[in-house]
Amino acid sequence: MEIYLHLDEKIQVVTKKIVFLSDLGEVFVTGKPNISMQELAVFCIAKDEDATYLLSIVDIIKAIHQKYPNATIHNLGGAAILLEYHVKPKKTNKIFELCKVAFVSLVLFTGAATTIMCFQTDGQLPQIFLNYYEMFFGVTVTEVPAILSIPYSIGLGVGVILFFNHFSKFSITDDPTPIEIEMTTYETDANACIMDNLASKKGKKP
Amino acid sequence: MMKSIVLAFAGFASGAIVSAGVFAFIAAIGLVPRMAFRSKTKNYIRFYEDVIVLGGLFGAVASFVSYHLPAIPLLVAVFAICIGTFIGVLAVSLSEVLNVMPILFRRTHLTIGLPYLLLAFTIGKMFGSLLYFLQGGFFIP
Repeated sequence: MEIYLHLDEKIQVVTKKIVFLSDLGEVFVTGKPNISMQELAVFCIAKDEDATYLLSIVDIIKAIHQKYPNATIHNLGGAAILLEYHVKPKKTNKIFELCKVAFVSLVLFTGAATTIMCFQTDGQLPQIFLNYYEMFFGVTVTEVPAILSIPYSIGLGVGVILFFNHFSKFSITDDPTPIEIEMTTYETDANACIMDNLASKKGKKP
Repeated sequence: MMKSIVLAFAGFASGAIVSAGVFAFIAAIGLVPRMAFRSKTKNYIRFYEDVIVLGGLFGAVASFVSYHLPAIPLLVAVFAICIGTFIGVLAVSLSEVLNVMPILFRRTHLTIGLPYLLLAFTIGKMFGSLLYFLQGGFFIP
């Protein structure tokens, strides 16, 4: 009998303290289909508090081998699993969440405005536009003329939409936006860091 | 007539490239993912991008249009706190600063005291900013 394992990198477990193999990810068994992997317990959570545990794939293989010594186990996934244990399911307070969104939006709005103002002041963009106007029409003006400022503002919007790939409901293609990609990269790095910390606490790394 | 069209096109093109550059900078330093992660509001990232676009437009057009916003001191104070938060997150997200700490710890063989060093760094930034504005002579007004 052959067992194929493809387990997730990060699992959340709420309230119940016995973790079964079927909770951890995908399991496929060939040979004897009437053996159910649903009841195979691989880990028991000891303490009654919120904590994160690191499960190595070797521990899981040991647990499977104890029950089914004749099985050949193939691991198609990662070498370790992060298990987050929560005592109670987290209640999401909608109003608190909206407050957080409002705060972050306010910070991003003012920050983006200030950043682009800094950029324009640093590069003296109004002076550049006055020079452009003088190059074309030979007339020195003191205020940026509308023929430059209006297309510039339109160009700003178009440039941003091109870069971010969407604005409000309107989107150009179905790719994830650059910031969503950054988010995924950050989460992967954060998981790797947590695994590193837990492994060094267990004493396996110097 | 031809000159006007070329000039208008030059304005349009500079707008597109300037905005792409500035917002690529904000996206690349990983500021938005960190704030979204910390506040556990990952689902709103598309909304945050729209907000950044609006903020950028607001700031850029401010060079040409004179706004008249309501003169309420509380509004101005909240505005200033938000700008400060953004610049603070920006200052620490830059890779230079993010790499200075680990290298400093490795060179000095420090294993304890990371939270206190970060606290000292933060208080130093706040103190430096206050000194910059309250004590004269640091910049030409």
